[in-house]
Amino acid sequence: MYLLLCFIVCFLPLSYGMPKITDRLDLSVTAVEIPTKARIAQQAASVAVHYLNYRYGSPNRVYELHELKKAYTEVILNIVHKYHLEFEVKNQESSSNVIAICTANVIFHKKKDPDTALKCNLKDDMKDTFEKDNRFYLNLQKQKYPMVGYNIPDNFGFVDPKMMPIWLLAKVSASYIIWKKSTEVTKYNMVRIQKVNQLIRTDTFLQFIYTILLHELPTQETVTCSMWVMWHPKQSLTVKYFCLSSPSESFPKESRLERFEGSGSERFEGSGSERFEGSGSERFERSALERFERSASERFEGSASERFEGSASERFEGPGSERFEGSRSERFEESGLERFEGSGSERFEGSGSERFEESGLERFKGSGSERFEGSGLERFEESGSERFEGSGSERFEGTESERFEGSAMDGFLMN
Amino acid sequence: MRVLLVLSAFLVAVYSQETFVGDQVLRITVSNEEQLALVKSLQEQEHLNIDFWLEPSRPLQPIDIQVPREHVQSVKAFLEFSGVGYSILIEDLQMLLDEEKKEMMLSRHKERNSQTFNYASYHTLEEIYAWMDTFVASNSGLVSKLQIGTTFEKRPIYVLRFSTGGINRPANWINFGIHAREWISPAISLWFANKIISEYGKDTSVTSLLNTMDLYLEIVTNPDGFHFTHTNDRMWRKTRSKYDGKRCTGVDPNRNFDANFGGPGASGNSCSPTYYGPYVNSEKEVKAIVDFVKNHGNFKVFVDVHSYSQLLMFPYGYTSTKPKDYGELMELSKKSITSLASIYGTKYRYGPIFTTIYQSSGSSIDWAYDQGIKYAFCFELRDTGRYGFILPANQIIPTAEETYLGLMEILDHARQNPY
Repeated sequence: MYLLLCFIVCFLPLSYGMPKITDRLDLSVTAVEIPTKARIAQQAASVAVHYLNYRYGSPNRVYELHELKKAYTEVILNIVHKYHLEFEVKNQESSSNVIAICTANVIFHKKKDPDTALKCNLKDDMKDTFEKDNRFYLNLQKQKYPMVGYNIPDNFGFVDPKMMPIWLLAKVSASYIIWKKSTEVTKYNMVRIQKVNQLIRTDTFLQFIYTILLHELPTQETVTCSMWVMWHPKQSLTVKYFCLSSPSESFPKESRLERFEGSGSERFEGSGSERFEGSGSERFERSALERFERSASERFEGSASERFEGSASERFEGPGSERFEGSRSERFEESGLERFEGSGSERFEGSGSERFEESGLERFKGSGSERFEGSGLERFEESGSERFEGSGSERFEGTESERFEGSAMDGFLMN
Repeated sequence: MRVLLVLSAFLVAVYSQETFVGDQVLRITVSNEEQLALVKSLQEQEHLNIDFWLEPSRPLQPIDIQVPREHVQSVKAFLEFSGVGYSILIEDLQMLLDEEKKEMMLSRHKERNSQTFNYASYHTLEEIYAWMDTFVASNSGLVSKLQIGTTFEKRPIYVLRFSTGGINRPANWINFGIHAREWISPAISLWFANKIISEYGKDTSVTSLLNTMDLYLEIVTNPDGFHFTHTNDRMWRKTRSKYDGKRCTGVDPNRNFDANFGGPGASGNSCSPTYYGPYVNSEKEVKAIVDFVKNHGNFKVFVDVHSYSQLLMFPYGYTSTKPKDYGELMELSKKSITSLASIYGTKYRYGPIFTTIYQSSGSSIDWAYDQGIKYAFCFELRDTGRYGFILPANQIIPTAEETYLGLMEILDHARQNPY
């Protein structure tokens, strides 16, 4: 079913008069092999694995890169950097040693989310993991109260075995965010769940609202993201998110407290999940806040279902046809590209990736966290994570019995 | 009379058998595929409710299982009967979990002997400082504690010196925990210190090493930051210094060294986690190291231990230019990570900082290398992102064990290749 849609989507670019990418997993003759140990090859592979986890992951299917076998790169139309990868993955949640073989094309655009085409032979794993997922799902459906949790893992790396599936579900959901945010230079890992609570649904899906912390390399920033996740053992994930950079590094503590007290409650009343619209990339944060400050509750009504319906098809289009249109060349730095082209294949022996990273990092340096200084985002950013400071493991241990009734937002107001 | 004794002995045995409380965590080491299959079969016994902390993967790799207390005896009997070796990693999990915080406070008072110190858990700054005194007192022939400076918040900065004598012998420097949130780094340093002491006189490499060179370990390089991660923000990275006119607190000490200071890969924004600071060596924690190393003048090895990512790196970070000892350092790195991987199969990548992780200016090992210390390395310990900085305590000892092997390769090589 997925394959069929994949094929359909593949042919759509032709109708836009774009470059002929007939088989998205092909290896072009102009592609150059690069050492698998090269940082950039490893980065491309990790992006592919995040995509794999988003599309096929679950609490019992969390894939990690086992070994990168081959990596190739090519530059298409002076616009994108495409990596063709052959690698092996392992389900880190499985007791078996089954290794799946994958092929992927990861395409990094200058100022857009990466595109990924992926094919893996995962069949052996699916049946067994589905049963385990189903057990977790049924168990949660049986519970009287919606589940809630804080600080997973705790400061000492401990995850209560009962919260493990919740944590792992967060990991594969966060893979969606990470896949979208990753660049050749910027790498992310999910550090912890600051808070999670479940929203009871009338249909068969499980829904969770997470606040998670991502660690960003090379800036070393911690990024707080709100993640709205819908899951069912038989379906792939639906994830919506909204990220901010952590104010703990950005703003002095005292002023954070003042501003939180003054503005916290009004803004959050009845606002639920609309905070999660948009793609979460930095571009949208400014406008998201404006919308947020105005009638927060209106936006929520009637939009939750639309967003859900929309996402069903989104999911299949995935890195859909529209990604191939448009030449964002106006934003592409010529210098970076010159250095890349015309210097043959030896450039990758320990040095090709350098040149690439150099240009990548320069671009990055100019656009780092400084961007948010003095912007209207301050107030929101500060209140966002201040709430979770000091919510240590003691609170978590009690959560099994202490359930939240009512909206998820109550949790955010209480501290 | 004898019958009574035997009977009472029997009763005691029976009674003590039933007085365990709480779940236990066992570490199983299987020696072949057959045993591996046996252990895996335990997973299928759902009623046993065994939780695998470290999954069975292949022979010789440890398997950690959490066994509910009602099944501990039968599981152990099964293992023993099948000839499968195991050890008790955690005697009473219930106690450990409920009391982990309390235990940390109590252990401060309990630990009189550094041999009974719990190396398998994370400790506060106070506990580590207390351990240092105990450790030095128990091993005063080999170890001494030096104060090399004071932090911004006025805490003492200590270094442990391991020496068998001589005057200003060629020396090895290893510092841990320069970035506050990287708890695994100081955690393994304690085990490492204890291991060195234990192996001196037994292991030929360690013995030869200390007979010819000195070893300096800076257990907590960033005490203010480390303390802050325990009390306020687990994800804090920098020092806790505050300068007039600067909006935010803290400087990234590993961007504050005199190695292309202020260059790309560091930030001039005080709010950034990679803020390089108002000027070179502005951080007292950094200045302490710089002054000490320069005054000593005879360091041959300089290692800075971080987490996470599983990497072994050498200069440069500030430039893509290869250091002049590139060949030797690449080879030594390869040897080191191969040794490291020999116990648990933990995979590391290696190479110059610039190409292995990212460009960074003002780093400690670049400075050390440019000072003439050829063997300048930076470790990034476990893991690769699953837990990241918040590495579970049950990985402290395994990480320490493998890193010890990796470090010894470097120290060994330096001893055999004086310059």
